[in-house]
Amino acid sequence: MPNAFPNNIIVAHSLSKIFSDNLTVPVVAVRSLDLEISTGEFIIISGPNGGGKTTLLTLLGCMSRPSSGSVSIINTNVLSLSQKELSRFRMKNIGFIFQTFRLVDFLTVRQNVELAAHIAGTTGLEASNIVSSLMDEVEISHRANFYPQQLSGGEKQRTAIARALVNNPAIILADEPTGSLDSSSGKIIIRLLRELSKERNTTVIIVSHDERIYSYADRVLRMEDGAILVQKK
Amino acid sequence: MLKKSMNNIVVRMLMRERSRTLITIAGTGTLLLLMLFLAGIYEGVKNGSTGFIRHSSAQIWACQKNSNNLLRSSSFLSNSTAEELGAVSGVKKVEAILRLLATAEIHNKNITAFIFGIPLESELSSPPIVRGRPVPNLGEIILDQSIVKKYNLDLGDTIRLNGDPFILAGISRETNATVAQFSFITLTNAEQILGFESISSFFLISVDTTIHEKKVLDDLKQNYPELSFYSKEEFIANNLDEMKTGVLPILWTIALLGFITGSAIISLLLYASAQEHREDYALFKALGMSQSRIAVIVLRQALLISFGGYVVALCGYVVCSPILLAFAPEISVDINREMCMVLLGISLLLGCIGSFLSVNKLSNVYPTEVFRA
Repeated sequence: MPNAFPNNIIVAHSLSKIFSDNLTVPVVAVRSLDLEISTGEFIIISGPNGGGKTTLLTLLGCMSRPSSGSVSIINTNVLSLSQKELSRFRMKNIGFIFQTFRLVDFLTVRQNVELAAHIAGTTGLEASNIVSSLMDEVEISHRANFYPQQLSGGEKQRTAIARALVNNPAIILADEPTGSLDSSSGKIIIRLLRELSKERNTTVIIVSHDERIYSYADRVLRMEDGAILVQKK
Repeated sequence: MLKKSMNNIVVRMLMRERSRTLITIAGTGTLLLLMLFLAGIYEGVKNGSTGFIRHSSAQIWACQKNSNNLLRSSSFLSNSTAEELGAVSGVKKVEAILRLLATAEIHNKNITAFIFGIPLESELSSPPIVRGRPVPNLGEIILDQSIVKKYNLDLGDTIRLNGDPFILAGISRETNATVAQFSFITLTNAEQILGFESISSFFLISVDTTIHEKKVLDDLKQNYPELSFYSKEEFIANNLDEMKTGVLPILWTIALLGFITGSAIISLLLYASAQEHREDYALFKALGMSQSRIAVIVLRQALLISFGGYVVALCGYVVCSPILLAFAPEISVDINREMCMVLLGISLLLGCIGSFLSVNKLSNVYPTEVFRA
């Protein structure tokens, strides 16, 4: 059977993250973890609270540095990058979706999506066209001039998805994207993410407790005590 | 477009706490207005304390040895010396003036008058005039316009100096040093009030145009070592120095306190805002915004507030200065364009300093904070 995901987009070896402040007992959030994720893969990371899922997401999202081990993302050893280079790398290559949406409440839907494009340096008509097209794609155009507080949970998450995709990232990291949604909205959002992932060949890594969505994944990783225990296809 | 987008964020972030932002702008504006008034008062004092000297056509001022200004140094000279000075080569004319303090009674109120006795038909010692005669006759007085306004006087009105009546014959300008307003009567009347004759305080000397002023000044210094001689510019500078040592430290202290308070107000607003909206900044960082761009957002907020304060200060000045001058006309406030530009610079500096704490605070915001529920 041919490998559906021939290229590894993320490769992590012996990845560990220990939180220590010299006052309390050190907490091992991620423990000597080896991980390979391929381009276009749709992965769900499950597991109990405190299992290290979100910490792993921050490591893969170049938001924090590991205590030990190595991470290569798109053939780049991200540990060798400076803080500024990491920001730039994240901006260009990684999109984020959060459980509580994290939309800026004083910006409209369009402005929220544009914000990520502007930060990445895409401006003017080009940004406007990309944003319009994305809003069409995630079916939120009819709410373009609404503020987040005027939207339903599903609409907020659609906006967040558009924002995550606006810079055409190779990877999307989503932290409990269905956590604040009802069951049907949750399924719609996951289906949408899955479709976008396949259309764009974007790698999607979702951290979720929601077992109802596991069936959409190419692979489900179960994490406990900072280690990956089970991998299901 | 990027700029527009960032401006949009800056304005919206400030307007999210509209009341707090407006109070901060008003507070900053009030402090800048205070600074503007202090600078204006200092300028007014400067102009008022030197206007008489500047307006005089005398090129050299002479006074008693070790005396060097109009306001705060004693100078007693014999009038006979004036005749000797008049004979020095290159000296065209010498006028003696007498300075004294006297009690003036205006509308049954007593004030201390700072009086200059000047010669009848003086050519060198007349003050700049708004209305009336530039040189008083016997029994006449010229008052500064602030006194005239404060006591609702007009030409022809009578006031009393040490009990003797004087008719208001002229109204002068640039003769209000705030700490003292200059009045002018004849030298004869001044001598009568003082009770001594043939005594002067200063000699005003004009120089023949065909001879170099510096040479005459050097000759006078060499031949009359018991006197002090100053060029007009030196004498103006001496009077300004006197003002600087007397008034400037107080004004500087108040202005500095205002500046510190203004910075603290802006810091407080931005710091509170940074604290409350930490998650927004964490999101910006998660989306890839650099710390320097976040610093620019905070700095722009601070500059917007301080510029708003500057506008409030200018508007406040336009509204408040007529009210202030109506209540206290003896306070001389002169504002000019340079001063407004300096105040703009100060207000922007205020913004920069005010943003420092918040920028520092936000450097400790981490993008991972967006994952906190």
